[in-house]
Amino acid sequence: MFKTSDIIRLMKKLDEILKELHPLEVKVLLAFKKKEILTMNESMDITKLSEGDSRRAIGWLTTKEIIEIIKQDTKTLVHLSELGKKYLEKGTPSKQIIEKIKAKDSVIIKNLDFLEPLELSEAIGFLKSKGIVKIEKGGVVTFNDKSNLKDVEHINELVTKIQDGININSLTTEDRKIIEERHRERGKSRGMFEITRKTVATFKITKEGKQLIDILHDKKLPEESISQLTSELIKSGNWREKEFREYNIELSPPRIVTGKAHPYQEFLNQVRNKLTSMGFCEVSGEIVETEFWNMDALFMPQFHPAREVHDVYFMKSPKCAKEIDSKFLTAVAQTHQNGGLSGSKGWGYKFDSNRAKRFVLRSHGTVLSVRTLAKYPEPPGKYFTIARCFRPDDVDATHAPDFFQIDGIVLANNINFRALLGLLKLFGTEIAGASEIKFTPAYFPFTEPSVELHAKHPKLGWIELGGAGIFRPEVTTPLGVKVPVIAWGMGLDRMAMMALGIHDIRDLFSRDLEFLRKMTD
Amino acid sequence: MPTISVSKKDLESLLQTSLSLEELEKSLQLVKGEIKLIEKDALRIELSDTNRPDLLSVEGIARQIRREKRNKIIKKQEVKNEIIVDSELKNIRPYIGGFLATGIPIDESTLLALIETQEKLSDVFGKRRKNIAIGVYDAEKIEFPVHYRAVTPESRKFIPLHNDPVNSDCELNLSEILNKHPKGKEYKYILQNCKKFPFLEDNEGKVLSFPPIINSKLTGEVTPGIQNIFCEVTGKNLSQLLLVINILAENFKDRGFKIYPCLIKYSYETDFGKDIITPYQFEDTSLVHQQKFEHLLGLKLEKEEIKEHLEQMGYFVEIDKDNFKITSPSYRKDIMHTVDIIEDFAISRGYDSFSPAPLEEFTIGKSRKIEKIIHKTREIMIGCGFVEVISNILDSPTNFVSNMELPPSNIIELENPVAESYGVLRNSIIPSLLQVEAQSSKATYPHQIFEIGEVVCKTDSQTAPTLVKLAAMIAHSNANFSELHSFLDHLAYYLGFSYKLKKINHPSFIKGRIGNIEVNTTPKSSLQGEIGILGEIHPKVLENFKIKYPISVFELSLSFLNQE
Repeated sequence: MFKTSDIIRLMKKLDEILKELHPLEVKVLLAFKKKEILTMNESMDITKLSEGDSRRAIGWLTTKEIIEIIKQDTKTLVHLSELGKKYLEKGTPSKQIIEKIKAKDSVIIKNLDFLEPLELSEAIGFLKSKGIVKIEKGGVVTFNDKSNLKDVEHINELVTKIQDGININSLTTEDRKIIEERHRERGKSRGMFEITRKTVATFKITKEGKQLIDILHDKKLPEESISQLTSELIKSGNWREKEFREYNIELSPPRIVTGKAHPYQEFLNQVRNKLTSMGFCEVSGEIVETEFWNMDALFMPQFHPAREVHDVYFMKSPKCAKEIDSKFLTAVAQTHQNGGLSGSKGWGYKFDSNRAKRFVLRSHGTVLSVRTLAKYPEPPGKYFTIARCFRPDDVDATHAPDFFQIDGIVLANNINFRALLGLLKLFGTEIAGASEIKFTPAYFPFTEPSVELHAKHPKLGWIELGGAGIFRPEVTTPLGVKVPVIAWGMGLDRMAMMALGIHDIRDLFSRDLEFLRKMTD
Repeated sequence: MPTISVSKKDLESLLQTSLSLEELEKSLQLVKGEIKLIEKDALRIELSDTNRPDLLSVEGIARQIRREKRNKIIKKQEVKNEIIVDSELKNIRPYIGGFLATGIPIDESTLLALIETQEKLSDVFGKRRKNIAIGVYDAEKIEFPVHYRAVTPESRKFIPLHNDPVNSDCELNLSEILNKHPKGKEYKYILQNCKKFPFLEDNEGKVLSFPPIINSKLTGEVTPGIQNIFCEVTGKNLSQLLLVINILAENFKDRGFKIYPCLIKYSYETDFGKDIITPYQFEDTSLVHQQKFEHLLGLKLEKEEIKEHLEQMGYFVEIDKDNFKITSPSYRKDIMHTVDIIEDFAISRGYDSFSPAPLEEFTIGKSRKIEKIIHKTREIMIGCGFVEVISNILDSPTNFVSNMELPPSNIIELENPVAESYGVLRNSIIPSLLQVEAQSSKATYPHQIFEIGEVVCKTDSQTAPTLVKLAAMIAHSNANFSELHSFLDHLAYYLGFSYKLKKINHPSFIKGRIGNIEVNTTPKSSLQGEIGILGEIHPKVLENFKIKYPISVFELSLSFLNQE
């Protein structure tokens, strides 16, 4: 039995709720008039609202306890990742290895290089743990115990089975375990399966909800209460006759997408600002360079192994530059041959001027340092460049097809080895933020003495930051530079990866817009 | 960079001390080496100096780490054994050198190290035996003088080492060796176009080897216990060859062998004369003033300190007032300039021993000119709600040519790409952005992205300028030309250029919905011209990229706007 006062209180509460109802909520609520139990999809059929609107309205109604969830089924779907699709075609790495062994009774690990190193080590690890294969001296892989071969087959059957996506509940516990061990998570391991979870909930109208429907019938629909204050209402003054629906301000807002800077570009700009604040001037240049500036001017002999096809890119066309400034060409050629005026013995071989004209893709930023020197800058001077460089490495987690390097020079009368160390120390602390650094001897064809700079990383230990040295007289003399020059260079990608907490260099050049939107620095 | 395998035990026995891993790593700084792999006793060491063949052996590394003073080899050497060189070799493989190493029986570890050194010196330094090939023999079986001859392929036959196991004792003539023997097949390229081949036999006609291919089984099988070794090097570059001989002799000497030089008698002139004694005493001497050390390194030094450290690095040093007369050890030919000697001094003293000095020169820093406009453009685009992208410059011809429905003539192709997917240099940023869209169909719409980056244009057969461009793309269910046009207009206003659009035909775009952006004025100059394009991507192109939403893009050259 209700007392009148209770009823009034209840009515009052319902009234307040009613005031806050959004027109979308009203639509969804009325859908429950004929049928007390509905899924979201069923309600959408009645209301004709979009999925987004329905989801929002149902969410709001649920928090207000106007409707309630009575059943929630989570459907977990498994499908193949890009990698998985590849395996569907070729077989999993383990299977590929097995096939190779079957063909010749054994296979040498070296000959399994069609697999990526990570894939290979995982697959071998798996096969060994199952006792299927053993590895003998010289990296020869042979069968050990074939009885577990069915495990490999099983995984491959599973890949085929789920190629179109499948509900995880329809799989055995054992299969589920296999999948869980090999599914891909964003930014993490590269698994062959992808798991998506989808929830299907069933809703029922509550007692209060039913009363609300009744009141809605008696009263005017709150569609007439004001949802959005409009310019017209203000201008006309009609807002005075209107009632404003109250908002539930605790609800989470719909998502918006915005513009965003790339954290790697921001990192590069920070480095640029650091350098300019240290008194360095920025220079830049061409991606397609001549062998002359990329190597000859840096005193790399034309027979140097790092000038071959596996260390530098060549182009089909254009192949050669029209010409090289003859005063530099002659002086550099002489320096290579017999030291020229540099006080060196030279490399003692016949310099090929045609080869000097051949185009390559800039393989290091040091090119821009020698090009700067060739413009006779007045000492003292400090110059730097942030340059994309290109070397023919296979692309993997640590090698991108092109990469950023920062290189620079300092020229002054009183430059010496200790000043070089002082500069590097500053880089270690200012640019890399290292608390501890060390120097080790290094070799570059264009500097002597040469140094490598290492910094202590809190987690990774000692890491190499870059190389530096004092340009050899064989580099500076032919360009007409009379003062000593410090030259230094560092790879920026690895530094950026550490700063941004990224483990795969390819993520710096990601093509996944959602990933780009979420990337933070 | 070359890497070599050494046995830790062997290294320690040469150093006469054992080293912890940390000590070893520190010591390896003296040879610019780094441990790449440790597997029980085997160490793989990477050496960064490509100019020091003397370090391509465990003996060489140990020698440098030991840092002991070395005695200058006495000049007068008694020479008992000769190698006589045939005149016809001049145009085939002209040079040879050799020596005997005796006194102690060769042991297993020396032999293993020797094989590793032989391989590195001939394959890495000697360019796959083309310039350097090394042979080692049991000297007991050889009757001197040895004859280095040029012979016709069918005139000699012998049992080679490492013969096919089935016919291991089968004699082969020289052309059979080149065609059947594994080493013959591997190295026959060196003797291409030769009518006669190099051949080494002793005074009694016993076969030593067929250089640079293979030794004979009779004299060239070296096993542990042999007391007298004959070592020979053939090649095409005499100075390199003499260096290798010196290195090998030094290695044997370090293990306690006594070295007996050979006299090489040429019938033709060489840069080092007609009669050459090997190992050869190079007299590479430099006169260096003390100030040169002090200037380059930036501190005051004591004479004795300089002398001591250089001697530890293998040099012979005489002090003459303020000058040092410095002779390089005979196993090194890499000293081209005094700076090389000064670096060796610094390495021996230890880089840690030099206190870093502050940079004193004051200079004014600034970023490159174009950064100003790049910075402004980025801010405007981000403010317009665009997400910034960075793409690689190397990309696949599929994305830049066939997917764009463009002819291949305008793009620069690499001659030696590592993979087809990185085979061209991008000449536009638009295909980079389309690839982002192609991979982002699951990302919440609308999509608005931009990239500022470098592209390389193919202008003629001799130039390939780099340009900085901006490209922007919108993709959503109603994306169109006019929407993006508004953004371009907005950008032009803030960058301070005025433009008009001129309709063009372009196979990547819908006809009638593509135009050139023609600049009338820029804030910096009165330069006029086409600086880019704006248009709606053709559905055929969208299909090629498997994109399901309409797309509009514009691209313009910031390099152009930056001109004065």
